Amino acid sequence: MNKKGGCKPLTLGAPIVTTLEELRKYYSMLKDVSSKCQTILGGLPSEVETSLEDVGRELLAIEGFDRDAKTSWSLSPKKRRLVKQIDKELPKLDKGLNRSLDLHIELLRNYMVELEELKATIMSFDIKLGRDLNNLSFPSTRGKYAVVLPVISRFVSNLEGLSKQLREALLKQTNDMLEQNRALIKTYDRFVGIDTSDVSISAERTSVDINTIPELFEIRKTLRQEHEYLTSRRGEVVDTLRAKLQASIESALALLETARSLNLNVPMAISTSLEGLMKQLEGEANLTMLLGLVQQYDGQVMKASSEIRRQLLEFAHNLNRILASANISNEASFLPPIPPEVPKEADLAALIASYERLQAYQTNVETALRSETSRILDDLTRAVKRKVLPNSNELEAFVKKQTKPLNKADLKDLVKIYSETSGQIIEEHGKLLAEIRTQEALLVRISETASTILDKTTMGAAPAPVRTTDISFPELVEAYARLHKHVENRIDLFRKAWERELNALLAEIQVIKPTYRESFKTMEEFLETAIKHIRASKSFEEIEEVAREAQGDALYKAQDAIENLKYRLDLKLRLAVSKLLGMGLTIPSEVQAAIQELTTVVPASETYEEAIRKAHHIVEVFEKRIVGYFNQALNEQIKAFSELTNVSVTLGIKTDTYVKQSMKLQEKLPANIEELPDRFDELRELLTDAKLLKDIRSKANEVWRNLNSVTDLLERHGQAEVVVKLKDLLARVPDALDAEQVNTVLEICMALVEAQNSVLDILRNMEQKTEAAFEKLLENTTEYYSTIKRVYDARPQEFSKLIFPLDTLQNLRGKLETVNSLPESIDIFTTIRSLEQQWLEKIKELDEWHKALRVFLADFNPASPKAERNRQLNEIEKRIRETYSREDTANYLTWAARELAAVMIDQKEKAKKK
Amino acid sequence: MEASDEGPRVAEVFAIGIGECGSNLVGAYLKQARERMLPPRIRGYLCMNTDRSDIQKLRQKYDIPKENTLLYGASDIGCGGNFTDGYNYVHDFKDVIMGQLTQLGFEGVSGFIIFTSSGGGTGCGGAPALIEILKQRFQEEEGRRIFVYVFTVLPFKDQTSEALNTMWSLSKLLRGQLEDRGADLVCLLSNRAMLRRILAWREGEVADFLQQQLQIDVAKVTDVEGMVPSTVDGANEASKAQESAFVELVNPLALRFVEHMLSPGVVEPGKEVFPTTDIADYARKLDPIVVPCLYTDVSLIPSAGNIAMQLKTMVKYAVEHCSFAEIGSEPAASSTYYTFSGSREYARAEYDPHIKQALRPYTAKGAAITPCFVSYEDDVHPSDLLLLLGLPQIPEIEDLVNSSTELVDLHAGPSPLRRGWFKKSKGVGEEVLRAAIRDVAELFNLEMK
Ligand SMILES: Nc1nc2c(ncn2[C@@H]2O[C@H](COP(=O)(O)OP(=O)(O)OP(=O)(O)O)[C@@H](O)[C@H]2O)c(=O)[nH]1
Ligand SMILES: [Mg+2]
Repeated sequence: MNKKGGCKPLTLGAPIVTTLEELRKYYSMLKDVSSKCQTILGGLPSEVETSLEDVGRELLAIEGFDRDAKTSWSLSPKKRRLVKQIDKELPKLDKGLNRSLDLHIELLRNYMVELEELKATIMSFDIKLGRDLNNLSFPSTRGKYAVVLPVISRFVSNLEGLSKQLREALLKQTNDMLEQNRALIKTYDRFVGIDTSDVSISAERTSVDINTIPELFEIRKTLRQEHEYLTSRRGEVVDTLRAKLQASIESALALLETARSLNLNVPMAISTSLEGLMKQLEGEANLTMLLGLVQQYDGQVMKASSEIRRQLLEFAHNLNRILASANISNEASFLPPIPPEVPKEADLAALIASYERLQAYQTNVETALRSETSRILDDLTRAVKRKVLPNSNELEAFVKKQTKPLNKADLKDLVKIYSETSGQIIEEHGKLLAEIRTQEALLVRISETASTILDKTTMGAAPAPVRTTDISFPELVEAYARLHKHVENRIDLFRKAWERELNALLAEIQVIKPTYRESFKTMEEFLETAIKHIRASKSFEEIEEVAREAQGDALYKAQDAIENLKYRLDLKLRLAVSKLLGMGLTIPSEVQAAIQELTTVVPASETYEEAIRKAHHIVEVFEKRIVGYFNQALNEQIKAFSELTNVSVTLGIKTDTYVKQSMKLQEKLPANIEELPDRFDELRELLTDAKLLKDIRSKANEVWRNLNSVTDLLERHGQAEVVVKLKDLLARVPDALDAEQVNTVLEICMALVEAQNSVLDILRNMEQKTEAAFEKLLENTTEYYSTIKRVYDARPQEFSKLIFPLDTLQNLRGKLETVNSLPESIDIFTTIRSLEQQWLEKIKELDEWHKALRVFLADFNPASPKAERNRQLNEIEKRIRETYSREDTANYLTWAARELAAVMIDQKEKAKKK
Repeated sequence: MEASDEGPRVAEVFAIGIGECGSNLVGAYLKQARERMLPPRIRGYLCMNTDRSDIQKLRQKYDIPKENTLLYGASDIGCGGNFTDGYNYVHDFKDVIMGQLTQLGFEGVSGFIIFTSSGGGTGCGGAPALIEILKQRFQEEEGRRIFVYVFTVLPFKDQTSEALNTMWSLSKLLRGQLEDRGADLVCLLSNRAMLRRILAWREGEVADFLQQQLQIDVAKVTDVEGMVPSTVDGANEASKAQESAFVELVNPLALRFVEHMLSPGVVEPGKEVFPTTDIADYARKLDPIVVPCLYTDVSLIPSAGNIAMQLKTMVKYAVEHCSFAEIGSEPAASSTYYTFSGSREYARAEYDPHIKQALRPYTAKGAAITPCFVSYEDDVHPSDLLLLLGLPQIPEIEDLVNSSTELVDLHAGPSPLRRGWFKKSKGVGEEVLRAAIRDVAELFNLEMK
């Protein structure tokens, strides 16, 4: 705090406003000073800035209290308190102001000291400014801020103006120096190497833009030092530059010579002036002079290079023109890559190299054209070799013509040959494409047409259409070749199908029997011709036309053939039928119907198949139903006859000759229509043979008589049914035997014989049944039947003699089985019946007798020893004989008793064994 | 029954079967008569038993209507051989029995034939009781004489308990006669003898039958006689089945005898009886105990000559081989009745002297022989000879007497517990049984061992 300054203490009641106003004025004055200081010094220390800000804040606070105090009631405690506050703050503000001012003053004082040191320098480059500065003295700073502030404020304003001038002058001076240094560095740099660290400011800065004066002074000093360094190196630079220029000239001269040797046209004057420059270099030289020589050198080199460039461009242009004349783009893929453009700069070496590249390029183009042409020619040659192209020969000639000059041709000729050849292949390509389209169209046509006679599978899948874009000529040729082959295959298939088709038509005729085929001869020939034609043809259209026509005509031909067949058969039939009718043969209705059917067949048909069916039908009807019928009828009759003759043998009639004849007749079968009447005639003769007829009739009569005699017997034995049939047969016989044909007579004879045999069988059968029934009857009549039989079996002769002739009965029965003569067997049969009747009566009697045996045998014990049994049996026999006086009774009972005893003993024995 | 023109000479007989055996015989007879369509010979019948299951079996087997059967007695399982029970039950159920008989129409009949066995309980004991109540009913209450015949079946060989019962039965029946309350005629049909006849005639068939029924393989037919077990004292099912198989064999033979017994008393068209005979005549002409001999399908061959000899052979065979109880070859019958039936050709009255002549060797001196010829017009009837021998020698009875005595001896003795058997199984004391045996032995002149 400035103890001297400070503000007069405010007294109560004194207008605060006035004081505050003043304070404000000083504050703003200080602010102004502060800002000018900043301009001059290029910035303020922070302590200084803070001091000013403190003052500002203090002032703001007091102004606040003051504003509150004014609005408060004058004697209110608040006002009093505020006033008190203000009183308390004011000295603080006062103190702040003084301090801040002091800080500023110190800053300025220091600055002035610095300026003092530089004054001499300033004088050296701006005397006026130096004087002005000299005239400016630092004011007195004793007293309060109220006193000091205005003085300082004025001083600062002056200082500010001077400082500004000084800075501007310094800026200009340093920038000039910088520029000078930089120019030097640049020049030096072209010839000698400059280490930039030695001239860092000059090398790095392009301009100087600094505000503070001391700094400006500093940089000015550095630049001056760097300038001195640069000046010190000038001689070195000159030497280097001379050597360099000499080398350049020498090199340029050599290059010009090279250019000339490459046939480039370079004026000699340029070389001469360059040699002059060389001479000048040999004497004393400074940098400026050297730089001048450099300029001249540059000019001559420029001249030379532009001359060379012009010639290069012309060469390149010419080459392009030749290619363009044949419409070959220099970018065509088969050509070498285009060389880089002729360089624009004047580098002689680069230009000469470019020229060499251009020359090489031309050679490469020629080689490329040659090889491309021969490639194309190769493609063509290969196509020719494939031998599928229609113009193979022409092409072959062309290839020869183009190949010959190829190796010796120059660019111009090459371009010509190339373009002709490539044009040719393009044309061929186009032609081939067109041909492919044609063939493809043909394929479509074939498959459409062929679908009527070929099925899809035999046709095979259609080939994929030939790709037309992005296809090379050789590929195209291959594709064409494949397609072509396919087409040919198709045509072949198609042909074969037609062949088959027509052959099928032919085959249908050929199954007709040869006998009837005559009518189809022309037709067969017609079809065969057509087939031959097709077989020979290669053209699809031709094949189709011929085949379709043949197919169509086949129907008409077939109809003609049927008409013919009908006519022929009808003729034959009429002849044969009239003969057969004449022989008395009847034509059965089904044959008549068949004949009718034949005549009504209409040859006109919708389809070939129908026609052929009709032909077959005609043949079938004729053969099977007409001729076949007659043959079968004949055969059956012959067979029937031979069977009959066989049978007649069994009847004892001689038939050998007839059998032979009938066999011969049968061997001649089947007969054709013309032969039929004769065969029938032969058969008729056989069937009416007089001798045979006589033999059969006499046999029939014999059997007839036999059968007549048996009817009564059969009737008596309940065979009424058989008798009715038999009588029916017998009644028919006399008339039937009058028939004139062997078979009819024989049939009736056979029927009689059969009847006779069956009557014999019936008799045997009757006998068996009657016997069985009779046995049953006997068994039912007596319960002792089995014993009776046993007694008989034990002594048949005695029994037959004494009791009943049972053996006679037995014998007769056996005889009946074997006897074959009807009269005899009738006789036996009746005898047996009467014997049976007698036997039955006897059996009844025996039954009565038998009862007695129980009584006698009661005393017989089968368990007794044998001797005892014999005694018992003897006793029994004795008693039987005592009891019955009749011999047969006594005998029978004795036998029976012994039989029964034997049985009893037997049973006992069996029981024992068990 | 319709009376024929020849007047009411038909014996109006009522048949009663009592006990199992008796009922069976009645039932079988009726069934057979129905099946063979024989003319009816009896007026009515009743099968009575104290055993329910026997009655049921009977009705089923022979198609007997319920009203012709009667179950009575204190229990319905039979008497099990206890004849005292059998006797008492009849008296106890007298009213029931009479009631049923009345319903069956037995009023006015002239006689009864009671079929029974002598060896069981129900029939053996019941038959004498039945006679008592019938005689009482007719003779004492109505004052009308009726005859009551008992056809009693003697046991098979070795049925000892049955034998003992038979003793009691015969004694009771005969003693009853003394008081005019016994049987007028007792026909003895011995199972043992009948079986022997069957075996002699149909040996093979019998063997088959037994094989089939009992699975017995009959090696020796003579063994068969001893094969029938005793069943009255209670027996297992197998024994019963065995007995009933034999009974099946025997019954048809018994029935033929019944048929022949009844036949002369019944008038039939085409049939002639000489001299006229009433069934009641049998009782009049014969001793009270009778053994029948039946020779069926007699063999006579008149054409073979020597008829006297033939008839002699016939009679000999009938007596010696056709008796229904074993009488041996010298029966010495006290009285004889014969019936010769057959077609007219054979059943001829002029044969009578020859037949009598032939019978002499088999009768006691002075014994009466009564003939009867039944001749038929047709010739389908076989010739049959039926002999009824009154009080003949019967060796079989001797056998029965012996085995009964042995049985009584077996159970007799000082031990009262042992003696209890008599009361328990027969309902009477030892003495009663011994007395009965003695009665029978005396009757047949047997010496007691
Ligand atoms: N011939 C023959 N004998 C029989 C028949 N039934 C039983 N017997 C015999 O009769 C005796 C037994 O008598 P049963 O008639 O069964 O006895 P029951 O009279 O019914 O008396 P319980 O059975 O004791 O009540 C035995 O000797 C048997 O062999 C039969 O149907 N025919
Ligand atoms: Mg019982």
